[in-house]
Amino acid sequence: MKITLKWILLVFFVFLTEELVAIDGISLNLSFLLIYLFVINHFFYKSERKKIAPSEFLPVIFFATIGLLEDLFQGIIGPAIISKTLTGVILMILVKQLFFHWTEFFKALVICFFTILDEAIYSFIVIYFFNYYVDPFFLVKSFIIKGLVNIPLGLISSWRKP
Amino acid sequence: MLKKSTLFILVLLIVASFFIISYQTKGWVNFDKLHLSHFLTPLHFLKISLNEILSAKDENRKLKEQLYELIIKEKSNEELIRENARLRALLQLKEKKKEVVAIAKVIRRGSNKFLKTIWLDKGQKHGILKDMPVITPNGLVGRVILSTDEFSEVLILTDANFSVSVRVERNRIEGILSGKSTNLCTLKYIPLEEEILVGDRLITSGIDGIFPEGIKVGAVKKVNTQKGLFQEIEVIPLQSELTIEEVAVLNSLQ
Repeated sequence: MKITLKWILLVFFVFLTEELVAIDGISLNLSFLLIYLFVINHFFYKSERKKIAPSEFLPVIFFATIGLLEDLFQGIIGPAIISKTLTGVILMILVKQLFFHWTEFFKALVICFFTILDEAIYSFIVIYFFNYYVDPFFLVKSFIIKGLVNIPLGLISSWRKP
Repeated sequence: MLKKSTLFILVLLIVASFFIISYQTKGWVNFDKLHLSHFLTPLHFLKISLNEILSAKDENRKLKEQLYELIIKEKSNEELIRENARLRALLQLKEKKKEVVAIAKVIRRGSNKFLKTIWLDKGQKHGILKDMPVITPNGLVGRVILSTDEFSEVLILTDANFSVSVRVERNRIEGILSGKSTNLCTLKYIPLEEEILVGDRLITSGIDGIFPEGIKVGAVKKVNTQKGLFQEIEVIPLQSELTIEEVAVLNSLQ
């Protein structure tokens, strides 16, 4: 119950910050950090201490819920559900590979790459299906900014984890 | 790698999402946008109130100066309006009225991933509807793209998805102005033989059926006639998007 409440508050705080903060007119992708944190907490905690196979159902539902919330804030349902779920599942597969050593540098690369992947999937769907016009240079710039902003935030929030 | 049940859920979610997306693109389903304006507005008003208190004295002095200037100008303007009306009657032109629906305050920047937007503190309750033009005394700001009961979202002139039919004030040449997603706009479809000068002012032409004619839009910043069928013209909006505080929402021509 306590953990659920903590996550609800965290989700609310993240979406409120996303609504408030923008860099040079570019909104941030802090919601990916929720997915990253959830995967880190869910898989590493259970596999290392309890020695049982963690559920895959719960994370997928969490990814889809975060995607749905983001879609509701954007007014178009679907693109973020797909991007967040796909990115989350790929991250989940990566986390389950035990041969990676999760140094801070590796975590920074993961956060940046997956944030950009999430944004790229989302943008592709929106541009292809809804015919939005976006300057390609501006799009790439926004991907990089979002990826870079997420690195310090992700590292701080997952400090000494796993 | 992944369990079969996980893969099944993943595929199900993706297929269902694509179905919803395709229904939305065809306009068969629309979802209300979730926004946190109710949470954010009090914070914003607190900030505005503090700023207003601090700048009230200075503003009062400036307003008094402006008032005297306006009183002087009023007399000559009345004459000009009468003369204009007489000439229009002679030419049998019908003027499309620019009616102000509401004066609204900007409460925050929009968080839309692809659109440059601002949120206003007034909505449908105050008569604001979708597609209504939004202006400031400096010039055009954009148009309303979403209107809830209490708030409305405005697409800014400099967004790449924004277009407005404009006219060059000096020589009446018409073109289409679009945003560039930076703080500039681009004037399209002006043939190479037409003369456009740096500094030329643009006003709305009124032929797009949304924006009334005569609203100031921007000034030409750069002209390139080197390539293509049309000139490449960069326009700087008269109303900077960073300094919009209070706006007027006008009746759409539709």
